[in-house]
Amino acid sequence: MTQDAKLFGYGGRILRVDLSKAAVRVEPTPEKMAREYLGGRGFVAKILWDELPPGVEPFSAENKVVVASGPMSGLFLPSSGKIEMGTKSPATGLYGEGNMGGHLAGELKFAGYDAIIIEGLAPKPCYIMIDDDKVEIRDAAKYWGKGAFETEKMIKGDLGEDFKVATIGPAGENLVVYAVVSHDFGRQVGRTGVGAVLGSKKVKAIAVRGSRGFELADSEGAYKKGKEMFDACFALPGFEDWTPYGTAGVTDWINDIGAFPTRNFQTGYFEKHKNINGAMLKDRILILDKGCTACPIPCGKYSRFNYKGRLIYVEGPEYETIALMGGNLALESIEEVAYANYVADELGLDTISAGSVIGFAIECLEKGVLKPADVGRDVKWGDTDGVAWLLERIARREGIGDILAQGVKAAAAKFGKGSEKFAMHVKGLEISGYESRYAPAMMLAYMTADIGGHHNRAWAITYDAAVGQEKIEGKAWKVIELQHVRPLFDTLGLCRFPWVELGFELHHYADMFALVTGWHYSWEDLLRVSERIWNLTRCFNRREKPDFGRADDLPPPRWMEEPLPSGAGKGHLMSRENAEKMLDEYYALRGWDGNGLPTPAKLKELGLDFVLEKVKLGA
Amino acid sequence: MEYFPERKGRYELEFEGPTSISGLLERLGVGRALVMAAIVDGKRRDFEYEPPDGAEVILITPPAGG
Repeated sequence: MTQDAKLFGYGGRILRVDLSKAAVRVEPTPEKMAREYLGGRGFVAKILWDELPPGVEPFSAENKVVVASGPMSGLFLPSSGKIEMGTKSPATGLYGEGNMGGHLAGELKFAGYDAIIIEGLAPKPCYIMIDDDKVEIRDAAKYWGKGAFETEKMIKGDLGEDFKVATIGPAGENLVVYAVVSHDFGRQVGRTGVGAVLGSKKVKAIAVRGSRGFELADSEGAYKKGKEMFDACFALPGFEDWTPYGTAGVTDWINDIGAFPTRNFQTGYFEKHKNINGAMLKDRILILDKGCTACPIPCGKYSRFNYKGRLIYVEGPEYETIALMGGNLALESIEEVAYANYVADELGLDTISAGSVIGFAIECLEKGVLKPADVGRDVKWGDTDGVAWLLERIARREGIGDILAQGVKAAAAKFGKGSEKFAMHVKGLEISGYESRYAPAMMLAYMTADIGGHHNRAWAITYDAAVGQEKIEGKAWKVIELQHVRPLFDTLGLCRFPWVELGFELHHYADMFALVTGWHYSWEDLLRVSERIWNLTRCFNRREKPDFGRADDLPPPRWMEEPLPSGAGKGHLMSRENAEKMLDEYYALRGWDGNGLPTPAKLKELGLDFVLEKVKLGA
Repeated sequence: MEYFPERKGRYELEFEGPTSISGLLERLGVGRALVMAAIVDGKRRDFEYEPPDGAEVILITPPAGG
């Protein structure tokens, strides 16, 4: 890779860490890649496409983890703290990626790096220490086996509090396919098992300190624009009201419209939702708002509470955890949900996937697919201690935990007896916090997300509520629009919350991009990059699974066969026929063929012709 | 804002007699499902609350979860 010109807004370098050779190399960030893929999610997708051998095993030396900040990470503008991490997912066998807030993104750029490529396998537990130009692969024996938070605390104690540290917990060490990467005592790269791939490479942590700084094309202009953006944010209606509750504030509304996962998505309304909503969080356990780099609306809620004589501190629970560990497991108090959150976080488990897998296991017990002797004990709905017990078993892969650690799709295949019908995943990734039988656009979003059942790409529930939850046709355009806008934030290194929660105007970001990079991209130009990346990850999936296509975009059987038994959406389901209709509309608008694959013409339009050398698409 | 009538962010309404927040939504033509919370002069209120004369009412559409 070569660098053509100075890159403004970028650290300017890519750090390559070869664990097998115990070697570190610094390469310049290619200008072409920066211009065409921007950073963050774009860099992750392009590097994985370019460098992973087709068909690579997720836990092999040939798989890589790419960590990338964006051109707007770490800057003086609202909510500039996002970093992306991606790999070939052990959960799905497809493109895997997650993002994380906190303070790592900016610190990495201040150290002079836009991305880290981690490859090979270390012979023994290690951690990567980055202190500007000094980069070392250090022994991690004393941290191995420790919890995610405990490890972060220990490393900060050893290196200094000014290091920003990302860690894996025992779940990552033990290759649980939904293990997370943790940071700042409560932020995670949650989905698709990036933590497990780091665990397979025996990387316990990444610790970064940066003081080099980086240049902007127009520093004075960017500073003025940043102030303007902050002032605009402060002036938005709802600015003061959103922060006290964070994402937990949506809990009651989601129940009202019948979209709250309850008892393994058996229904969409939890009768005890008022015990686990944002007001309960705020009134009973919240002690501090906790935010990421430059965030004026800190969504992190740091909580303290007493659980059976133990004083517990945890960041959370936020909405997804309230959904998947609250309603989905029928836990009846905010303290119980927060305790489950704490256990999962310290073990390094994704609370969404873990909540889904445990909900699945409880339903298996309920239906006799599993007996208590198979599990090691009986676990029922609302059984917090049983949930905590299962989380430990999963993280350590003990007993039934060894099967559950492989995710709900694999567990259902192993248990059989019809349990596949209520394994709630798309493409092997457990579905996040929105029961969608009465929210067709949201269901389409889940069906078509590149990484599987995740809402990050398109949160379409408000759109369903606005235009009619009964309506099936005519919604695909909105899902596509959201799938371009939302991941663009992951590409730029920003958090989307000021826009998505408060209505912050999008033109600000294009204006700032020009001041930072010196590149004059319109908002439409930026969306074009996002569409390019969307098509690239679709092709990545096709390359890794040669028969990947329409069949992978279908919702789980429960959503197609079981009408909602209660709540606002009582009686509704998504018939196979309507699911196919939504896909027809979606593919046509995307310029894809009937099997859901980008056509050669679409790839050429987006500058992705090179894909055709490595993947066979349809006719 | 994009789901509100004429995609506007602000409306001025004049009418006689007390009206609840639910009544305001009806006058505006905004579906109840689209509004997660209502803030009246800085305080969250339920939908049967009747704002006083001259009140500023902020309608919060559902945020985006995690």
